[in-house]
Amino acid sequence: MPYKRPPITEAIIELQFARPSDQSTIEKAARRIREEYTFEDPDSAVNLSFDASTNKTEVQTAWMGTRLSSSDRADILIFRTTAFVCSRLAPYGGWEAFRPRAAHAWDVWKRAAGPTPLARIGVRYINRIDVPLAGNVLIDVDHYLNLSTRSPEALGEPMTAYTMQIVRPLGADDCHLILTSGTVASPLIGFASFALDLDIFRATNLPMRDDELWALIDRIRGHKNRVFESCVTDRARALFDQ
Amino acid sequence: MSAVQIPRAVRADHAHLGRAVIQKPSAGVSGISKEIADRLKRFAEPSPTFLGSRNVSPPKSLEEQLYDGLAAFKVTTATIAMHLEREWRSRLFLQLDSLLALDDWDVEDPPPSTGSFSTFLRMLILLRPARRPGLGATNDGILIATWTSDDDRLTIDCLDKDIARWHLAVTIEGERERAAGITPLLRLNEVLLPYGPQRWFEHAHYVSSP
Repeated sequence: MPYKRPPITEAIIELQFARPSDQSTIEKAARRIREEYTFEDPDSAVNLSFDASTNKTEVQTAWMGTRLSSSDRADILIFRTTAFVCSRLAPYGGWEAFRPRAAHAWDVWKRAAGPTPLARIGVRYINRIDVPLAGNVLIDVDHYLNLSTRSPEALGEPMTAYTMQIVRPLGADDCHLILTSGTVASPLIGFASFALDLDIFRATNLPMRDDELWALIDRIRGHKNRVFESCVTDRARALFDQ
Repeated sequence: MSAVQIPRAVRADHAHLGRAVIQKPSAGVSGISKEIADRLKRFAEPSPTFLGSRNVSPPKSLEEQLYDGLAAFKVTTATIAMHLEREWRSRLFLQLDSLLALDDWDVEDPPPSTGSFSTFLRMLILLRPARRPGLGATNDGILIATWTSDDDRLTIDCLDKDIARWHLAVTIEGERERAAGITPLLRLNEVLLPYGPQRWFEHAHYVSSP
């Protein structure tokens, strides 16, 4: 069900490679799609190390890939040595916009890199449910999510934060679900915010053909919607449609 | 008991906004304590999109600072973009593109800090002004929002951690009044109320009511 204000803070399609790719292939793929994005930046891992004997801090950077971003920085494509990552930040424009962009970028990648065996296919949606406090600083998670951690009644005082993760088979398409939820520091004043992070992935029997790959990704997206709807309450849905 | 007590009085550090609230337990030495510490660390990790960063070593040139600043502002805006009308957001980005244009920037001034921009964004959602403010910056990296209506002016310096430094000049019943203050964002509506802030913010339907 499309919501007026979907709570999605980030949608991600990540295809992890079975074998690392090399820098020249990544640069070749990035060149072929560069004009469709406004910005191109290196994607690097930065490590800080401190040597107590010399009191010197050393910054080491390792090139991981190339990141392409739209002018509003909401559409992101990363060709990494270990993975293909297509991401959309809020505001989410729907699967109809996100999926073709990812499929097109994968097509560009395949033309540059050739057949790319995969180790993992993941579709991840990170949602944030912003609940207005309206003078009330006690929020019952059960009013918004059909999953929660419980603090023993005998302890009296309510909890001030929680983090939980459920990992389980999805029971369809050889997929697994990683569901992570927890309190987050709300970016809105006067609100409480809860994360509902749904990562559905498959790491076995991965398709080799692109039509099978994208058919699987379409089905995973359907599973994601089903899981999302089963996790939220009508009170939460009302927040997404205000 | 599934109730969560939300602390209201704490002023936000922009670096933590939108991120999981995870407390590290006291240090342990057993295998299970290490396993729990590793899991908590993974909870706090960014998504695959934000695992890497731009490979730029300090000191950065002004051009790089402006580029990084503008990128950070847009990514920060994405955290609340579901609460902004799309056109409002697009026009805000045009203002930011213009404000942080290299050609117009004084080489001696640092770009506005991400903390100042975070306060600005949170203020926008709180005040829900229909009219976008004019944007400026101080020479010490503070973002300024200004609204003008005839001779009535409101200027808000967006300080780090949800603090607004404001000054205004209005004519009320024929008398010119000036006022200024430093106020936590949470009380900003209240302190501006006697001066009829709707004169600056009117037509408040462009920013969604969260």
